[in-house]
Amino acid sequence: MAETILHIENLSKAFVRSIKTARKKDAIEKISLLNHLDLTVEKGKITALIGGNGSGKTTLFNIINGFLDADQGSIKFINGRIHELLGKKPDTIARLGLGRSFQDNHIFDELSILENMLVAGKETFGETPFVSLFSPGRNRKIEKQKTERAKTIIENIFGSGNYFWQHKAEKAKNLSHGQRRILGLLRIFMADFKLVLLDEPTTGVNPEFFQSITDILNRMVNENKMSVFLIEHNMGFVKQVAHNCHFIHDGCIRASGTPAEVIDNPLVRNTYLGF
Amino acid sequence: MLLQLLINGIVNGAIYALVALGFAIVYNTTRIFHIAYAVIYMVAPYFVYTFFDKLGFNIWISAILAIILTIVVSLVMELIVYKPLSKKNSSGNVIMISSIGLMIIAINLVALFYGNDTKILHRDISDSIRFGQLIITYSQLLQFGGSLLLITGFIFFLKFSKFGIKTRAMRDDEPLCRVFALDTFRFRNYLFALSAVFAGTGGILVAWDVGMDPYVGMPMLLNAIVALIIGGVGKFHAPIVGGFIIGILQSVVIWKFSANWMEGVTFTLLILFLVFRPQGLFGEKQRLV
Ligand SMILES: Nc1ncnc2c1ncn2[C@@H]1O[C@H](COP(=O)(O)OP(=O)(O)OP(=O)(O)O)[C@@H](O)[C@H]1O
Ligand SMILES: [Mg+2]
Repeated sequence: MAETILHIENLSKAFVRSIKTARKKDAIEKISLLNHLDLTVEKGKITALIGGNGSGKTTLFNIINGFLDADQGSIKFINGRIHELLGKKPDTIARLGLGRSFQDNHIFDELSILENMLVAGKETFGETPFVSLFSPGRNRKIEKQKTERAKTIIENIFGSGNYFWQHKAEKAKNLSHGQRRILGLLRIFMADFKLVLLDEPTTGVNPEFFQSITDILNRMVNENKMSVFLIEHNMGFVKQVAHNCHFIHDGCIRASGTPAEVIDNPLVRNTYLGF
Repeated sequence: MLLQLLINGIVNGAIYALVALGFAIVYNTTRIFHIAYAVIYMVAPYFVYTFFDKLGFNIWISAILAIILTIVVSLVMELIVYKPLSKKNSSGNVIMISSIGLMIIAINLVALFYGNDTKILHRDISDSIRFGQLIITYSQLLQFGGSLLLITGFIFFLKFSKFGIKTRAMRDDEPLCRVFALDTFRFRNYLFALSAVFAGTGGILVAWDVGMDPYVGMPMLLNAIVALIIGGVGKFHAPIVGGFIIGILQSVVIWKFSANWMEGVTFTLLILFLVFRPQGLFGEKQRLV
């Protein structure tokens, strides 16, 4: 029996939208996006979540990492102890060891490539202006260790003399879309997360980067003992990297198994893949 | 004559730069249009007045106590108004209106306790240095030196310290900071404290020279906002350059026309920028993709 790192039970979420009706009175429409959803993510594995546009995948991630509240249910994060995530703030959840990436590019544009890596630490040392001011020695030492670590992380994937390290002082906004996505993934290594949620890591990325992304994901799981939970539309990529796969439809998980099994499921074929 | 006015303009510009930078520390990171910042600038010299003139404390101790109390006022504003509103995801307009309300209440309170009249912090005529025709008073030197010290200190800090990196990270992408475990609301406390140091120091330095009344905050805030906009919103060095530009421009206006034209010209400059270069001197055109 495989170990579980994330266990979601009976999770529901509805959005309330106001719509204009013919009689010019605002009416309120309730859309239940997630309906008593149950889901388990195994520890040390890559788990994929697939489903149609607007099926609530990103919303699920937003609830897990604390950006959104749920209407009911429970989300247990099992990392040594069992933590209930619902009701916790995003930074608290991050500190427990759960990280994420975004569907659209989130990067610190005006920070350099290296600073983008350095800022992603869980430690709060140097956060207050006073410590920064009065403890420069200790500050520098930590900074040096983290710089070394950033270098190792980048070289593990791209070898020495790579583009990212050579351009480490350049602002991140000067990178291409694909490079920024990669930087976003590399940055996750800096933070000692145990579980990372990746929202469509390959979307909008040139296929030339697919191999690097695959390497990064495998390294997260094999070398760094992280568990990965990712949303993906590219089924070829899912088959290649994922150990497990869940299919979300009508607000709950309708098929689970290995990627091959889920792709063969008639419901998945009819409602999502379309063949 | 021009040279003398230019010196005055540079000194005023340093103060504008200092106050504008304090505003930018909050605005660039939290997107709060902190109108009540005017109160922070105004209230600091009243604290000095209380400790120095009323209670007879040493001036430096009075100034330090005043800055500490000013920080407290700034934190109270954040904790009882901005933080709850931000947590509820209130719109920027709601927050700005609340900020205006906060400012009016605070001005009324100060007027109630201290009166509407202009208060003077000290009666001595400031000593000055002369270079031929040029006169620089010690008050002016203090304004210029104090502002420059804080400004350069902050810029250095921003570039090289961890706190600085995190401040710039907050400016770029707040949700991402939270994903990487930064307690953004605790961090905001430091930012509000720091901005209070900037506004408070500016307020005290100016009041030491010319005194103050409960209404000095708003004109200074407007100059700071113009400095921020013509420099370029979102950049930290921009309001500094903007502040000096306004200070020097105003001195030229006084020389060519009269002091009455000062504000008219400042706002003409603002409108020219908003129409022809809304991103400011250092801003970049927003990338659409
Ligand atoms: N905060 C919100 N308030 C109201 N509606 C929302 C909110 N967030 C998401 N929605 C709606 O919920 C639906 C699902 O959005 P979500 O982003 O979770 O889908 P998704 O499965 O990630 O889709 P995609 O594959 O396109 O990324 C959408 O119709 C969206 O408009
Ligand atoms: Mg999505």
